[in-house]
Amino acid sequence: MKNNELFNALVTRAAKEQSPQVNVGNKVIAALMARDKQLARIWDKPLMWIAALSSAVAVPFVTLAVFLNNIWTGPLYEISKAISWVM
Amino acid sequence: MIAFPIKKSYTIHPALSFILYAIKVLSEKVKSAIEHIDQQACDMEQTLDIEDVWASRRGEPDAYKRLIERHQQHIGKIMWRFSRDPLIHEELVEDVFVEAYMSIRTYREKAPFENWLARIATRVGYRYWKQQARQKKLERFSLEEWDQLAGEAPDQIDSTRAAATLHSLLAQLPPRDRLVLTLRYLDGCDVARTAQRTGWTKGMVKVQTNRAKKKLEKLLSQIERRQL
Repeated sequence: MKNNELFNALVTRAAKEQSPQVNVGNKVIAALMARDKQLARIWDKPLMWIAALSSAVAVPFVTLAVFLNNIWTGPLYEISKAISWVM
Repeated sequence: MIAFPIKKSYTIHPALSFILYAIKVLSEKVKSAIEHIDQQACDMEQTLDIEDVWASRRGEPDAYKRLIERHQQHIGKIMWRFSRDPLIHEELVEDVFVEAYMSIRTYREKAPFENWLARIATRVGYRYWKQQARQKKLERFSLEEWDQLAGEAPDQIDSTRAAATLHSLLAQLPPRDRLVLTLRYLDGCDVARTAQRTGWTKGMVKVQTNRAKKKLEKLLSQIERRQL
């Protein structure tokens, strides 16, 4: 048999071949869910950094505010304020 | 006596000719009924597909699983042309469904879902071949096997063996030529269907087919020289 003829014969025979059975439903769904979780994590990260930065800015202000509040509302401060007014 | 449409050259008894005529009419009726049922089944499947596509877009995993289960054998058959390694084959089928899910919003319900999936499958398979070619992972072609097959009667050749030999033969060609020959010869696609599967124009498919055929002829003549 010539090569061209053999090629055509092989094409005819190969067309009748049965492909193996596949069952990928669960694997694909698991892969898609894992991907969704990963995507959610990627989106969480910038939010986490924004939260950390704003906390870092807020903490000194809160500390300063508590400190000033303690000074201005303390009994010693009230006394010294009254004495300085009399004098 | 009633004359039934039977060739005049035959002298058949009227009762027999009536029976033959009745059989012919009945077979035509059965054929059209089967075609009608097939068409209805096809329409029903298309309706189910569209319902599940919408549900998948809303994020229902069960709907997408149903789509996979309905089409995985068809996609498996397509991907078997791209890799005959069972593990890679399964991975490629998975890739097709993952990619399809990611672009499910681009599916317009004009064409059957199966055709849309087949297009994605062709793209995934072609990408795999290009990747293999870049990594210079050539599949081995056995001249001994080819010679053995040449000595066998064409209708006695085992289909799996024939497909494997063709696979390794076409693997000697560049991915583009391999793709067009696989679709045209092995999958039996016409120009329009090949254009649809590859995303090329019909003109491009014709040009590419001619080029690929020439390369295949050159390859076959090289084999002939090696045989001598």
